[in-house]
Amino acid sequence: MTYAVECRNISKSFGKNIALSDINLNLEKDKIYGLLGRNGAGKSTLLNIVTAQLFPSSGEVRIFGEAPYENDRALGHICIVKESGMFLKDVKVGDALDIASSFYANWDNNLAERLLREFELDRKKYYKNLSLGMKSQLGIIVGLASRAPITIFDEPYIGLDAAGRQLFYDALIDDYMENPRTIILSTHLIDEVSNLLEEVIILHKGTVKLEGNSEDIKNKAFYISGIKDRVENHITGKKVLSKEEFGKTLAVAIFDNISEKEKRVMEADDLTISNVPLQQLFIYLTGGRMIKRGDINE
Amino acid sequence: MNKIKSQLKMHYINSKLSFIIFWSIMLSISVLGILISIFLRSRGYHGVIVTNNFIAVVVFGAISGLVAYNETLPYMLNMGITRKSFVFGFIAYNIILSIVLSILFALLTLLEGLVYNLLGFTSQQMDHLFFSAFSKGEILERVLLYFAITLVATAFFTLVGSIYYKKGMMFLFGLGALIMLLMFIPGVPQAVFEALKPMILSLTGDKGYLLLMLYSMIFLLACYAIIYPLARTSQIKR
Repeated sequence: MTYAVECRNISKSFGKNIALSDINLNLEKDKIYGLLGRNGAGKSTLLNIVTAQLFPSSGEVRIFGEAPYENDRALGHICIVKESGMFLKDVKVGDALDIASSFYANWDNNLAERLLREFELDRKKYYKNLSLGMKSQLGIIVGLASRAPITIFDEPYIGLDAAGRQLFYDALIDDYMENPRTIILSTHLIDEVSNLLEEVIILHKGTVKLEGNSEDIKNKAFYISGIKDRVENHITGKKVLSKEEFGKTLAVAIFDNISEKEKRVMEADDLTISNVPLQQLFIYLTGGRMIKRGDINE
Repeated sequence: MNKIKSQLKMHYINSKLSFIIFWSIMLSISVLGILISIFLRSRGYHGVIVTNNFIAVVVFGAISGLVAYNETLPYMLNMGITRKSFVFGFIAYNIILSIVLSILFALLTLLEGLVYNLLGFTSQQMDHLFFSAFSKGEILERVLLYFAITLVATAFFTLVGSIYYKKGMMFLFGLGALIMLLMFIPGVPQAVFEALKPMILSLTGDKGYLLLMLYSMIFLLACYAIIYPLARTSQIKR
């Protein structure tokens, strides 16, 4: 099977700092991926390597089966939108779109114009005079209108208010439904995007902490609370992310498969079961102090 | 080819503003120079008048090469352009910029010449720096001469820009200091001058401007022989 993006044993060091360590990922065509990680987790470094803007210290990247370095065809499949440094400073909004249109083969000018109106961006304004939110809006317009088979948004909405972000999510989904493509969304705002994501990759300290289908992940992450002894009976052998005691009550977050039968037995034991939101799971996995047992990838 | 066309479009849009500002200043200086000349003439001055200075054009070309390289390389990488394509696009940009600058400057000097002639100044009283040393005044000669010099400056400062991008400011300073130190070694300046002497002397002949064109193209290729491997191994900055 040819993947949209393949990363094989990618490592990257900056001097003595290890930014990425042995990353292996296969990203399928026409899916929306969430690349989640705390500041400094290595998200931008990984995306810059995928787009051949940085060289890996070791390992290799494939874009639809081809190495992207100095490869017009492979790079032609990609559009990356970054939180900063995306555009030339002395260029007007309209000119920035004009330039972008000549670099992306599938550019949709109607979509760009529509989004320009919806975001109420003045096409005559110089990029350097735009607010942070407006710069993000321009990046989002380019990313969506590029219609690139692999569209990457690296923290695309710095400075955007909630309404602006919602406009982005709506436009992204609408356009994705009509024109499916591989979208990689690197973000901190996990709760907001959790419903958009089909696949999730959590990076932590340069390694892949968790990777998988968003629904599968959500269906494996549970809070279980109830009387301490009963809870402990049921979680034996399960991967526990956190444990909190309140007198005789114990609340645990687990990341493991729980069958319907097990759930019924727990409920019969007066235990409360609820799903762990993706953002909370992310915090458990990357927060360090809450992880009580082992690595989730073990 | 399409990628290079897209890059040239980007360079055009990116440099449009600075280009307009620069030529507005050049035109203003010309007008001011004419007004001053009229004033001086009314006071009985009949000496040589130095008109618009070609050095400004060379400096503009040089700075454009230096700044544009550092600004547009990361931008182009972000837009999915290969480093090889970027380098070829930049060569085209260097050449087109030098052509446009030299044509505009030649037109400006022609226009100035006409105005000064109308005001009663003779061609002996006018001096365009650089120009009189190599050329007898044919318009094509002028354009080729301006082009060759601008191209050398633009290519050299693109090289400086590429070293700066790849290795950083300290390396560039170190390299400059090393070259200066080498020039202090007894005999080295003389050897360099002797090596360049035949080339410089050959430029003063009748067809000097054509040789200068040839040398400038060789210089461009030599610069890009260094720029190419530097660009191919450049990464975006963190």
